[in-house]
Amino acid sequence: MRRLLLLFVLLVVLGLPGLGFTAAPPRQGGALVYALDGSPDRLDPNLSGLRPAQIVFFQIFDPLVVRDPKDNTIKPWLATSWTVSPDGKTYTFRLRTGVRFHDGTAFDAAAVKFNFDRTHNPALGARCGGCAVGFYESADVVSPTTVRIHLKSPWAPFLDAASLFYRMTSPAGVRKVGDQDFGRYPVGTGPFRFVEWAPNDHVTLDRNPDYNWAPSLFTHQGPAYIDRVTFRIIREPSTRVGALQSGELQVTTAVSPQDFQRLARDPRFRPIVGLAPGSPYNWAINVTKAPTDDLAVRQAMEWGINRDLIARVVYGPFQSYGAYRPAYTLLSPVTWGYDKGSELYRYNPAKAREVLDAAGWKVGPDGVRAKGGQRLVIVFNAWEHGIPELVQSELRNIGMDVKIGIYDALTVNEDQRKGESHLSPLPGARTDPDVLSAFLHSRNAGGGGFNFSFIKDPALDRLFDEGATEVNTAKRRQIYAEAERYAMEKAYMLPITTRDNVSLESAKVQGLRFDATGFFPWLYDTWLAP
Amino acid sequence: MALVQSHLSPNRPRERRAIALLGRLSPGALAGLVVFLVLCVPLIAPTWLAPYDPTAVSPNEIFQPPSFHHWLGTDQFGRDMLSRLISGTHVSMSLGVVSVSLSVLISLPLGIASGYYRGALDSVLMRLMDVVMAFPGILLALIIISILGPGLANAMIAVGIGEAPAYTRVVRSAALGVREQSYIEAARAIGAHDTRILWRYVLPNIIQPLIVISSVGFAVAIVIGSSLGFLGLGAQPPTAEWGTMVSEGRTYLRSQWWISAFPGATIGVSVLALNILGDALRDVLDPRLRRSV
Repeated sequence: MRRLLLLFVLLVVLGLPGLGFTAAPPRQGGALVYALDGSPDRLDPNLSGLRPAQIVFFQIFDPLVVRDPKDNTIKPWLATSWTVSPDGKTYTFRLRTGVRFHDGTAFDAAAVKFNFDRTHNPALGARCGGCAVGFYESADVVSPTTVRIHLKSPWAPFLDAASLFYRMTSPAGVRKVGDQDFGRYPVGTGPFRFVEWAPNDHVTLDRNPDYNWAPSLFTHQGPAYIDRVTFRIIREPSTRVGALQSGELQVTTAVSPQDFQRLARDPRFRPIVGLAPGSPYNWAINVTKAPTDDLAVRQAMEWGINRDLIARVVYGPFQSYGAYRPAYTLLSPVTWGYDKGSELYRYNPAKAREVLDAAGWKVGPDGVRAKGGQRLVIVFNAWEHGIPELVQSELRNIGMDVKIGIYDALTVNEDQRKGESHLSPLPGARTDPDVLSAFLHSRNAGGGGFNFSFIKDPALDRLFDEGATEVNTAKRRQIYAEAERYAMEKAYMLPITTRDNVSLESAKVQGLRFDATGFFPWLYDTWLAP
Repeated sequence: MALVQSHLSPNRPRERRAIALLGRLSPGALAGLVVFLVLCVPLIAPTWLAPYDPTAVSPNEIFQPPSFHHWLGTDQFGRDMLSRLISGTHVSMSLGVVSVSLSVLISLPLGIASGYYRGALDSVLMRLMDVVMAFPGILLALIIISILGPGLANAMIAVGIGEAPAYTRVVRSAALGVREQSYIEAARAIGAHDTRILWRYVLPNIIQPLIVISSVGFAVAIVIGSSLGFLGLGAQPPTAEWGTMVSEGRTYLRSQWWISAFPGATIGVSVLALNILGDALRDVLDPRLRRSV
């Protein structure tokens, strides 16, 4: 009898692993090589907003809170809890204890204050795209584990910004090398520590053995699994893919549709798709320059392009993964605040022609419309081939002469800022719908702002201001729905397709996931199978 | 081909000279000539031979390999490659013609002023030419494009200016050579103005070396023009241009190789043909040059 019992227990114990525990246990160790498509400018979260830099410093620096991609709620990370004052202007964070920076100094409320002050120090010129610029007032150290952030006025996207852009740097680290050089010698609290950076070649990080403060949304606690991460900077897409195929690296981002199609079916590789919330691949329509100052012309553009076809021709292989879908409004469908009711235009070239005829744009002998002696000529610049050529051909069908120039991103940006082009490409992945104010609020027209439609519409401004300060989520949602609908009625922007993150990883890589924006990898849970 | 001779051989009819010329060309040079003539067809009639509209996007036919319907396949927008190549031939040949003409136009006055009049002007001009020639051709074109902005017209100007110093040197040395001849001294003695001397004696003898350097220069112009197109600084979409087509096809090199391969091969074959033709022209013209006094 006892032997039977022993046998039974033995079987249960041995059988347990087979009972639904399908994956092998994570393995410690190994070196991961990750391809970046551009070079970081500085590894300094207080001062930099460049995507390649952000990808790297997401591993070195931790934020106070984090947005869980599963349910889109904000969860604790370095802060254990927080309260918001009734007027929405004061946030009080209680901080985790026992957290240390890579240089051994303690993380505390003084460090948080230091970071917020540094980000908003006008002398340092931070390019932090989502930070509370203009809203931040000051921070108070209430106790070593309690910090109070004061805003000048309520700002609803604050926690969202805190989950992405406000990452904690070591005050001792900054004081040691100075503000400008800290980006070359980053010190944070993250699961990986900085080792070296060979400019234009690679950045290497190694595991932080003392790491013990991962948020609950990760699958394990304690130090990360991988020993070493190397970010290699490879600008050419085909070179990146070639390096993946030869085994030189294990993860590559920004894969071309054709390479993706070829390799997704290869058992040695696995596709990873991060659907990006925020603004899809949108073109700002310059309303201050003829002929796009005419509402009829703008609406005709919205009716006249076949987004379905464009998405299929340029991004065909991605469609089956739900990525790079046609976009009909200002926010991508996975964004909180997306409003289906604002998708006012579908492909209808007959309607486009009707609208143009009614507005007095008559077709000339060469097929291009003209009104009052002026030909309907649209000028725009982009930095990538593909969509521009297709849009050019579609708009030609409805009688618009489109002149495109494909140049590097800097040149295109210059022309955008000067208001010389009629259309400006503008993707913006963000988890909060407030990203729209970056493109459409009048305060962002001109100067360093991204309002390339050059709209100064007080009605729209009012909606954005309300949306930014409204703390009730249901009401906020309504405000943004109204803003989207209004902006689409006036055709201030021309949405084309969504812009997602399509990457390829080697089948050996396990546990790699992207954050709520779909673009930044979390390497903490990642491990390498043998 | 009308050759200008000095007044010492007045009696050979032009046609017989031309045929005699053709007979002296090697098979390679003949092949080069044929290729050149084929390339000239789109120069004059841009889309006459093209089976499809080179800019017509055809979403259902993207990435088709060479087939009966599309001899050279289709590109990422379903545009017929053969039609685009023919259209691109017009662009590249036009660029060659315009930039060579520009170089000749710049080099004639400068070279003659330098070689015929000599003196301080000669020194200054030649040092200037040295400075410009110190820059690699493509770099010079890039500098000029960065001042003028991208586009086909500006690319033509950039290449024309960039190649002008080489032409100037040729013109100058030809002018120098003629200047020393005794018949020039004689003409001056009987009271001929400089203008008459230049027009009647100097110019005819410059034309032959100019023809030779033009034919090779044409090839150089095409290469630099295509390089600019490759960098995205030449003709803008949807205009088809060889260099731009090669560049656009880079992303697809692994699977849809024909998008880059055919334009690349076209550039290679055209440049080779023009170079061989240039060499043959030089061989043919040189004896004549020696024979004119």
